[in-house]
Amino acid sequence: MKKQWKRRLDQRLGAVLALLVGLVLWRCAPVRQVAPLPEGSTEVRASLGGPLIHFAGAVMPIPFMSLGLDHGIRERLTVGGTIYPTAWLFGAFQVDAHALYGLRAPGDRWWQPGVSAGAALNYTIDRWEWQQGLWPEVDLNVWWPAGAHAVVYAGLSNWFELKGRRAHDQPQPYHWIWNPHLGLRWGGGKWKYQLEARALAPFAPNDEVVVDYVKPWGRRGAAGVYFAVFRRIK
Amino acid sequence: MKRKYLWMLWAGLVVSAGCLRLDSNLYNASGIEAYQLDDYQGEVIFRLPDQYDIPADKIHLFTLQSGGYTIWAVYVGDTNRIAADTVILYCHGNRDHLDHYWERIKLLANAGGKLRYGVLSFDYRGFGLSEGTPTEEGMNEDADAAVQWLKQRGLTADRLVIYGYSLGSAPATELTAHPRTLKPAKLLLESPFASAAVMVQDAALLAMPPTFFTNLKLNNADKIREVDVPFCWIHGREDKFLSDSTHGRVIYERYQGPYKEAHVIPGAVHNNVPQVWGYDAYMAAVAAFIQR
Repeated sequence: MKKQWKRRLDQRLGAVLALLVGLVLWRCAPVRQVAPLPEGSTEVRASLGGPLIHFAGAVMPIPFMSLGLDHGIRERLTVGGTIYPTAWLFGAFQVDAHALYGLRAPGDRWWQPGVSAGAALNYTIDRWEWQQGLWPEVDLNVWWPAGAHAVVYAGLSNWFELKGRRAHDQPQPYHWIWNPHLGLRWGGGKWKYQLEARALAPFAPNDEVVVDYVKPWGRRGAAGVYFAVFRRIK
Repeated sequence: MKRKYLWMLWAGLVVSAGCLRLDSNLYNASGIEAYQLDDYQGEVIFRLPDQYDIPADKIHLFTLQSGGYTIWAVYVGDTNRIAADTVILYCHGNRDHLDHYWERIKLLANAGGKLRYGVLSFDYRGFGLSEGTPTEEGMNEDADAAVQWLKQRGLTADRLVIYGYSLGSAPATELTAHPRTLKPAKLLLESPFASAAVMVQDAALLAMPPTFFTNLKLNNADKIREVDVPFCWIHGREDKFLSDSTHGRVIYERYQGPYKEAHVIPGAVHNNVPQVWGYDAYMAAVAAFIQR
């Protein structure tokens, strides 16, 4: 099976190229806070995960990593930043700066979830030709307390491509890349954990991507699984 | 102590920065112990009926010197007639080695009639029995070494046709846009890629610079603008790897030379255009383009 998988990759030009290019930016966007931190508190986080692929007869997420820091500067407002060691290994320095605003706290009923909105700027520069890219992102989340130490949430992560043209002055086909997600956050004290499932670009054809993704939605999109650890440091 | 570890972490990141690049993944070469051609039992996309067989005395395996490496080549035809024949230089794709492309080479040797044209193909350095490691410039040098071999046997520019398939579209376009030994009279590209940038952007959906992941300079879409000989583009409509619309058509539309023709084949994918198109129709189109 492993040999077969390798052959499938080998059969196509630049297989790994497509694999990693497609992941290092929006597909490996980190797990972030879904509810604002208490004012004055600070958390660090490490997020690991990526699209699910078939590998050696099993299904596994590609483990792309990000490291971040978040700080509650107001009761409803949390700001933070993220670095991406995986991109750095390619000589591309990728960072983001983001803010999360709590629009409402959850009510007593299930139809009264907490609601938050986030905005981020994703910036990348490479060390080879100093080429740069900037992509804004907007996230929307709804979340529900699940017991004393857990939160269930759902949301939509949206990346935006601002450029109208791409290579060779061709029209840029996608300007809005949306990825729905569903997750669970649990833990108490200093440590918290977050597990998130995502539908990655479920609008985009996936049969032109050479990687053997798990494709629960047929010929469009891919599925991803992400895990994050948060530690309160202040 | 904390500061020491932070510095160590920072130093590690600096040292490791850029240690991964995707350039080498462009080449999917594999070594062999000997060329087997018709006896090759490895994976091929299609096998031709017997009627396309080439007589053994018209198959010549030999070596060339290119950039200090010994590379292997095969000439199909009469080597004593190179000074008079039209020759197709076939630059193959990124898979394996010559054996994998042997059926395609035979097909071209049957275009316009059996052995109507001589066909020369070769393994880039690092492919098959060829020495070395594949590189972008190495492919150009290897292709030009093949042209030199033909020139030494009397081939003139007006009888040289270059055919580039997939990865081979890079050296084929380069040697046509920037001739080194002979300027080809015509250029055929089958399932070509536009550039490394398009490959990156197709995969990422975003208009990101290719340099985030690769240092490859492959850029047929720009080089085709410098091609001023007749050009034929062949592509599978269902090519899900190098899309006809984002790769081949971009090249085709940017060509500014004297004549161009396109054959986009419904139902064909990246590697089976001759099969889906039909061998006869494929060979007829290639021969007609060469003869026009």
